[in-house]
Amino acid sequence: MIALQLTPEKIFKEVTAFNTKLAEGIVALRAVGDLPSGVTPKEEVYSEDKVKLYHYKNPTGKKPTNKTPLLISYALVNRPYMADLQENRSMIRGLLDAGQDVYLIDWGYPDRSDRFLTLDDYINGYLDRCIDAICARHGIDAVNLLGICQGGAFSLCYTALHPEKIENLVTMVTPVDFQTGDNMLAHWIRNVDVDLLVDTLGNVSGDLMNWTFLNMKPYRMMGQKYIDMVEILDNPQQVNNFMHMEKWIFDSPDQAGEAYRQFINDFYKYNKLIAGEVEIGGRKVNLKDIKVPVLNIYAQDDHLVPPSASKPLKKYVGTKDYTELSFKGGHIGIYVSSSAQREVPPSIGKWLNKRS
Amino acid sequence: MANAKSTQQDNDWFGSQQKYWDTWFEAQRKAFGEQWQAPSSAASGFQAPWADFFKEWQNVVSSGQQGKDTDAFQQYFVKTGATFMDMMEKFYQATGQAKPLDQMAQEWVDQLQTYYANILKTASQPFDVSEGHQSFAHSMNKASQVWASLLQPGDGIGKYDAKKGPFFSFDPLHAYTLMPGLGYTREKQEDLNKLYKCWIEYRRKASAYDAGMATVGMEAVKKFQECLAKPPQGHEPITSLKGVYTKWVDCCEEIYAKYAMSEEYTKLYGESVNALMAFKKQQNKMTDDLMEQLNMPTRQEIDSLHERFHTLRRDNIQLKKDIAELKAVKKPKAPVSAKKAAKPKMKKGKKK
Repeated sequence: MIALQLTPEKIFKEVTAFNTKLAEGIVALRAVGDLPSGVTPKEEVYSEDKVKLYHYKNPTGKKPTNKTPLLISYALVNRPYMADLQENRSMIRGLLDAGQDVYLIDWGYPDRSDRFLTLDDYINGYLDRCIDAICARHGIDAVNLLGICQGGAFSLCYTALHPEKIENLVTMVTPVDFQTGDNMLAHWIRNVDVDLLVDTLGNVSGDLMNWTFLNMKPYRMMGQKYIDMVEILDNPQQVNNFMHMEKWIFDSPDQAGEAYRQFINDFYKYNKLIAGEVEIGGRKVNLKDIKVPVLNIYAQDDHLVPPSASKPLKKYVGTKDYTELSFKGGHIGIYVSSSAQREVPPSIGKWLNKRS
Repeated sequence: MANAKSTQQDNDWFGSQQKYWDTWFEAQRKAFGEQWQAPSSAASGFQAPWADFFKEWQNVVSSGQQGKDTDAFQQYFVKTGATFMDMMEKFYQATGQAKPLDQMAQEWVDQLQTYYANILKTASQPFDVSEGHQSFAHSMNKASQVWASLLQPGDGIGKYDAKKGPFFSFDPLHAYTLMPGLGYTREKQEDLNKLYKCWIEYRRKASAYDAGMATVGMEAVKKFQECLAKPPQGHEPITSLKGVYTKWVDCCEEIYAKYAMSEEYTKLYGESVNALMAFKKQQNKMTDDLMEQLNMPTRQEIDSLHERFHTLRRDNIQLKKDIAELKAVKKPKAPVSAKKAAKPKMKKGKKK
């Protein structure tokens, strides 16, 4: 056992320090209080069923310089306030500062009355009508669209089907090729009978989704994370940051059954997006029909959507104006890390301002 | 709703924590008031609050995963926090017993090895159907006793022990469920048989999954031992218990990541999920049958209504679009007076 250099004194000190932090931590944890779901001022400008469209205002009073509004389409999985978690960790704030006029779709919390919502309902329905609402407000024909994760896949489908309504497309940590060797979720789902699963469960619960994600790195995310938490318990600001993230991770909407069925089968299991075989509302999605400028942003250490799943977009889209931005971080860090605040929203703003 | 649930859980958690901290401060006061070299008695006072803290914490974290079906997962992952507590306890207790460091580490590793070996052993054995789903198994046991009493010696299932309940390997209900239903309740019998078969199948698949995961645990222990005994060149020595724990987690994640991407795991995972869904689907059907007998709406009926509603809604949206397009086409051609006359009476719909 030559790798260990421990003494009884060291062990005693460590144990004591651990306990002291735990004791102090209870005070810090109690002080956290209610956690907000987004921090930047916003106004609801359109709603339909459980879907809401928000328009954001820059708290500094700065007006947008880009006349083409930017719509953010988040994933159905988890809640969109990840893009606006805290004042100093807000992609939305960064985009506003970069001169964008920002809108965001909140898909809401589907319940069992939404079980039969399909991808057609989400993409050609809610998303399309949100874009119409923005166009009507601004008296324009097209918007800039920013799709995040699954919302990026939706944005690709939408742009291919409605190219006249999109001026520029930005995709963030968006899976395109779902069957690369390092895609754990695609690997796991291969032998799962998704039809049986949806027929049985109806909607797929947020808890079940979370359980799946946690199992991608189970020892870290269900054990080590909470041991590490003790380290920061004497720092109220870090505790606050930790709890914001904790709330977001477990604030997971259920997935509408039919939309889940189609997304998992067509995208994950049969990789139809790159084959041009995904059918939405009776029309095939051909990524070659995307001729508008595309900015594709991926995270180098993303374990949910590995870069190998995002980067192939380049060869499948029909645009001649394709740009890639590689961020050094993970799937979550790309929204909340301090380096992300410095790099990502300003880069998106610069890229859009050049083209709008 | 999720938030309300979470708040309730937090309240419970903080309530229990309050109690535990009262005990904890008292224990700490005693521990520091006495000689710290008396760990065997003080250690239990130290260790118990940590363990409680993390047990409570992790109960909150994993609250959405209640029930026996998820125990197999929990025992590997959610317990990893407790692993750290166990480790600290082991090492802390040893500080007062002047044990060599490698012996302390070895004892902790042995403990882990025994833990995973026990899981492997349990998962590899025929299981007792009375475990887990107690009420379900109880009714099944009763039925099987009646059935067994009807059987003649020499029919191949004579080893049945009514006291212990039917084991999977000698399960009289298996024979029973092979019998087709007869008479007026034929379809109900078939439903029950199917439910039982689905449950047995799920337990079988879950056991296979457990065995696979226990192998991961064993391999992780082996990897960890190697890391300690033969650290790679340039390796920094581990100077804290946290460092030991981090190394342990690294080893587990490394082994798990490889296994989770293997064909074997994908097969076990898929089969477990599919078997569980088949069981739950049959369970849903029987619940619906019961609800119907109680003159209550069933899940199936409500789903049908929702499906029809969505179909009608899509049709309605499409019709609105078509009408708008027709109106747009017609508008420029029609003279003003004629246009007014030709305008169909439309209900003004509020844009939602």
